Amino acid sequence: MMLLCACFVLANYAPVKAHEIYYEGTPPNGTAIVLKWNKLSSGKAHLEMNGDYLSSSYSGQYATAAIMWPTYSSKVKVDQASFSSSTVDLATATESYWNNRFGYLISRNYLGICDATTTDNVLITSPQTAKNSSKKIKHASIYLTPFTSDLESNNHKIQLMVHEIGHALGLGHSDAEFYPSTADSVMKRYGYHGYYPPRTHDINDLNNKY
Amino acid sequence: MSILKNKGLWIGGLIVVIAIAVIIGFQVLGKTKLQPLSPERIAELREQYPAYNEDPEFVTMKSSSFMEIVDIAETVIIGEVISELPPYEVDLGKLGEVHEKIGEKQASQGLPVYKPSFVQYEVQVEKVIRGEPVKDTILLAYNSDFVGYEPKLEKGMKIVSGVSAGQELHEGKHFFTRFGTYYIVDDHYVLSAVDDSYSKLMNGQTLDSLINEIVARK
Repeated sequence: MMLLCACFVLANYAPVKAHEIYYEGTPPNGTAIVLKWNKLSSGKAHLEMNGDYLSSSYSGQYATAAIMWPTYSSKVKVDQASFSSSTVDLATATESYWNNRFGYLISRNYLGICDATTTDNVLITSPQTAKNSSKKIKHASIYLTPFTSDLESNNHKIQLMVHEIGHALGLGHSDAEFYPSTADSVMKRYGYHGYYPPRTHDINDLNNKY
Repeated sequence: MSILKNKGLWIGGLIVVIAIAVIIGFQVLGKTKLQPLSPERIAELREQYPAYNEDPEFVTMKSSSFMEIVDIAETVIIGEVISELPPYEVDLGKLGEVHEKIGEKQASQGLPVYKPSFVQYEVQVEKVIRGEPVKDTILLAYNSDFVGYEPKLEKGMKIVSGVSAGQELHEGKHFFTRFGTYYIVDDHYVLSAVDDSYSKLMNGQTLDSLINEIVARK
């Protein structure tokens, strides 16, 4: 009985398994709302990716960014696909779009965003929408800032794309208010930290998720 | 002789009176000079005037300092919130070929189309501290997805904020951000809408001192 109780306690209060995008509760501890990529192939999250609408500022770095997750994680498979059939689209937003979406004055503070849609056609924009969805992501539109002078280097552009693809896989920010970690990660909120391949922390998060 | 002696007494008395007046004057002035708010008072005020230090989870951001926003904002205002107006929605689908193509794909596959709504506040401009003139009353807006991450303004709140005019879909609106906003508290003091290195220096200081720093900015 004691063992059963201990197991119950551990199951309910175990450390976070992966850094999720959304949680419920009060930081730094909370209940995870687990979002995952829906299509799996042999247990791997299978992304069919397209970068046709990336501007020349990003297109040279796209090929490298696209293979980062499958290169470093055995839990991810990426294929290139036509725009009409792709499930992950990367595009450079127009300045007009960026200003009108995020607001004038503040738009330069935004570098990228991942619009994820779940299998029940819910566009995830908040913890509430995530909670009320199937929690299985079937499509992601990733938009990158048109103001590329705000990025430090070409490697920063790769890191930005890898980071947004990480969101499509259901990964949250590693240093967010829930279960913040100081470990190296491509999923940190701010800035370029000098690397773009996923780090051990990110790989472990995917291993726990898939 | 007696007259001279009396005159001397009068002059001496006058000097003493003036000296006392000067001393009292300095003491009064010294007492009325505003001291910064105490940490305890700042902590109390934070209940009503929170700092917004988190970022939306699907977005990759970079932060800005208050003075960076002051530098790029069209106008820096002192304003009082009159009311919160109902949010308005915009259609981003016609803002370039890329977005039209993505919109077509979303429609053909039955994917939901993102149509953001924007929170808006009616704000009475009391003073333009720096930059372009604005109307006496302006509408300050931000994307509703960022509720909880950008300041929730209440009727009667006073702010110092860098603002820029919206265009295209946001004609007639102005935009502001936590990075470029200080609340005016206890009538004469300021408190930041986000914690950063500058707010460590400025929180609890006087409104006048913040204005001076903004005006002194080249």
